[in-house]
Amino acid sequence: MGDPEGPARPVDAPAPPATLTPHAAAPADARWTDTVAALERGDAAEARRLAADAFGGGEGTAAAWRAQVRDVASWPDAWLIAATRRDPPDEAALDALVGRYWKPLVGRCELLALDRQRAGDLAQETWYRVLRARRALEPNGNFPGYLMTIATNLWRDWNRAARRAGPMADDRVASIDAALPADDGDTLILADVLPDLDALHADEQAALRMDVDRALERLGPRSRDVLTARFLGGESCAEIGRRYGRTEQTASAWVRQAVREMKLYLGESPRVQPPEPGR
Amino acid sequence: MRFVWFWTFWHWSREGFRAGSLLRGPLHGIAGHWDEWYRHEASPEDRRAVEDAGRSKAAQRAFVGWLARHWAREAEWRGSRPPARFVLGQLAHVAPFDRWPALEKYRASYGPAGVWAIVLAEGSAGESADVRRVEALVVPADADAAAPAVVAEGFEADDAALDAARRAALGMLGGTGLLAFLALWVAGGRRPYPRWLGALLALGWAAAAALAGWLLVGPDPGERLLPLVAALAALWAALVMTATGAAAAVVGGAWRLGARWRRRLEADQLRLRMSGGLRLIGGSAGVPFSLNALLAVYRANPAAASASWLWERFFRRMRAGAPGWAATGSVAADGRISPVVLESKLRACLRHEDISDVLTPWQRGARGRVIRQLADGLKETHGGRTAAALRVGGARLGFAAELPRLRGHRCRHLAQAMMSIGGLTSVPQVAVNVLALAVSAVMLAALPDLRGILRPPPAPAAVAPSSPSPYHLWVSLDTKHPEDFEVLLESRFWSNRRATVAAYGGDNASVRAELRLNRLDFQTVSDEEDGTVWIERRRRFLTRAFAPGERVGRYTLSYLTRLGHD
Amino acid sequence: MSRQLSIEQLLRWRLALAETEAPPAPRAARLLEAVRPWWELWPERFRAQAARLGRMQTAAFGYAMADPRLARTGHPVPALVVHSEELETFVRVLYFSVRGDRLRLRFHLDGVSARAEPGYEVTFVSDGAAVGAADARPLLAAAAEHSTDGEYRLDAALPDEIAGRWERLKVTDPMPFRLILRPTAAGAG
Repeated sequence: MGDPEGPARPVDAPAPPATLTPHAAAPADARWTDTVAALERGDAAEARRLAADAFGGGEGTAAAWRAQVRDVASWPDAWLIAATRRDPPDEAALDALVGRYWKPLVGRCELLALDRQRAGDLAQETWYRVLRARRALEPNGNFPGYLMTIATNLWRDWNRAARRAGPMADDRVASIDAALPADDGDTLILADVLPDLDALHADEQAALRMDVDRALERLGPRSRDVLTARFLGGESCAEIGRRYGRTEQTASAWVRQAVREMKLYLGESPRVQPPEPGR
Repeated sequence: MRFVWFWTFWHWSREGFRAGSLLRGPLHGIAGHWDEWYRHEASPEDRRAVEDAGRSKAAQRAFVGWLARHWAREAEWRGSRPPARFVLGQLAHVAPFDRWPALEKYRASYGPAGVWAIVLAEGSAGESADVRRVEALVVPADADAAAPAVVAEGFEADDAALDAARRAALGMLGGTGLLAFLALWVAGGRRPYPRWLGALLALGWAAAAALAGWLLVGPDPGERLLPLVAALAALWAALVMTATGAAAAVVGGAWRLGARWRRRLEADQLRLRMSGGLRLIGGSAGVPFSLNALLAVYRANPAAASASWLWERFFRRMRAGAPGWAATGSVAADGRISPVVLESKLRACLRHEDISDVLTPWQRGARGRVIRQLADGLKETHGGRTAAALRVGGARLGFAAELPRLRGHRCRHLAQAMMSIGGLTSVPQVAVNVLALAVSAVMLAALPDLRGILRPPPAPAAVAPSSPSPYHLWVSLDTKHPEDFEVLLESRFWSNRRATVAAYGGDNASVRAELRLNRLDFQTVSDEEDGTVWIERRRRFLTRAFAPGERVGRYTLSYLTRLGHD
Repeated sequence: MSRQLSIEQLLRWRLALAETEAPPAPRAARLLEAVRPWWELWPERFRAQAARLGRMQTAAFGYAMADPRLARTGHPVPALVVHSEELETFVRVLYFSVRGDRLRLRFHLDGVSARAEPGYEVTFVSDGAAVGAADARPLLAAAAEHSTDGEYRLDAALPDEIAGRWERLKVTDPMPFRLILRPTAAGAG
């Protein structure tokens, strides 16, 4: 990816549809190899032409390959990115790429910004940045991780003042240390709730959502970022630390602190209770 | 080696400058260079080490101490050591140092302030906030040739005004300004002697004056003239040698050290910092800027001041007293101070608790009476609750209902300002100097007379020509000092006469005394050649002639009348 | 009945809600249109600004130094700051480094108010602007962020052909570009 500090493991990205890859193709079928080569270098138009020429009237595997080349949404990230990198980019490929990661991106942005409108702006601006630097995209890199990193950095830029309050947030946290639960686990007990979060009534969902949002809002911007990066983005503490120019230990401490804060703030909600000691 | 990462950064900066990727030298560009290095060049190990250094306030302080005491001594740039306070002040504004509490004090200040400047905010009638702290620092010149010689931090000012202040400071270190300063000091400045010696010298001058007065108007000392004159001459010579020797030593030391500091200030960059974000209009802060520039040069190497009593004394007083001094006035490059609008500024000083003295241009609005009137006005305005601060042993005691006290020092030239703030003016010394000048003037005027008394010329012999007229007697002498001799005629035929010796020109040019021969009314002899001519030494002290001195020659009248006629 | 839930599960649940309610994805065409360089969107404006940039004369900074090793001076780069009005000024390049396809640049903006903008979008215009607007072409655009004391830093990817030409440039060399600076507001969005 263009950002060398991008995280290594995609967690949230919906998996691309199962495809017939070149490795599954008959080794002797050079037509498919040529088509895949065109896709890998981002020449989508050429790939479509080759597929139409090569597999136009075929049945079975040929039909499957033809369908795959036609169905942009089924392409793997590498082909979509390669097609987007070119000048001009392939719009169909870009549409597919945006569509594939739009909801996860907006979701993460909403957890950062805690405002849907702002989350949408943040997601759009993220895509603007990605597209402006699209020539540096690596087709075989971790694109969803790269996307989230761009979004997070952008959000941090937007919250520079809040970020300067990071140390203050640390002080604030230090002052409530005494109130924090003694255990370091991140378990919570939801009281009076059905076993399944998704089975909550709409009102209960809305209320719990508000509690979660309030708790997230009370976290400092940095704590919110490291928490979502760790638990939703799957970033390791080393990766988070690298992003902030800090050590893994520091990032790990931030994550623990953020968890404890969340437990404390959520514990103030009537809908959740921290676990009893010894449970 | 501790804090290796900082050395790594420093070397990157130096090499980057040498290789041509950095325009500014490692010292002046240190903030920007660090920002660049920390963001892009530092290795993960370096960043971890930096983070460790900032982990706690104690660790941060350890870094600050190391940088100030070790790094600043070992690092070198263009033959100079980096000033630690400047480096810390620059780093304190860039990440991660901008988050370090241990660097808090360096963010806004280079250290101890100097003389306060009085800069009125727009629309202000003179509030205490208009008296503003000024800090000055000299750092080695930037490698960037476009960098200015004076940098204003925290405010904006005309380059011409800043340059004038700098050049005035340069002049005070070596040039007409320093000459003026030294002249003022010679005229009435404290001397480096211990108090007892100063008193002794003053007594000496008084004694010399008394002796000279006695010689002029007292009774004729007779035989004691020689020892008295010798004593006077010796006393005067000793006093003059002591005074001029001491003054010459002080002046010479001050001149040499001033020349060194001037070279330093010419080569270095002067940084002036004044908070408030003001845009200065006019050059009315020129005087405090110039004075603080001098203080900055001193602070860059205070040990050097020991080479000059005068500079050391001046800076010691200025450093100690600067927190209580404010200054205003526009200064020209030659050090002359021009008037400014003053009333509001004086009011601002009166309202400021810490200001006890203010340096102003020489203008009517700065007289003591005017300041007292302003103070009265303020007292009335505040219903007598104006609090003046009195410092006792470093602690400040507040007194309500006391008049604000402010001493004004009017100056036409920066040299006068330096004399005031340095506490160098001494009224007793002025008195002694006046006395010394008077005595010396007398002594110098009387030098020929003193020489005649102390080292009389050899006794002259009578020579030709004698008078061609029988009615006159010429006593020509072979001497170059006619004023030191008199001629006396004693005769039983002619009237006794006394005449001074003088040089005559014309056909019968000679050094001679001319006596008119008059017959006595009652002659006891009939011999016209009866008579003895004595050559006597004259003794004078300025306008006073003493009783005739020794007789050094005797000639008969007949011999003298025949001289040259054989 | 209660159940133990982890923070992670709660966050994932919240994320899922947000994803469900996400607005529809923008179309590629709209995104591509939005990221077109401004000089493609407003070519006339670019030509006018490039022409004005091209008319700016750089003073000859001929410092006669006894020892040029002791002092150096950069070549001022003409810059047009586009606010509500256009302001002609100069930029001094303080740091210039091209490594691979990466340009790292630091510059100081002269003659602009002491109240520094937090950032600028910097458009590099070929120095052919000096010979006429027709030859002026945009080279690249990048974001510059305020660093310290009126300095701005910039880190951008260079097209290969430009990277090859600029790799050997030193900060004391005349810069082969002029700049158009458009302030970027912090927190845009």
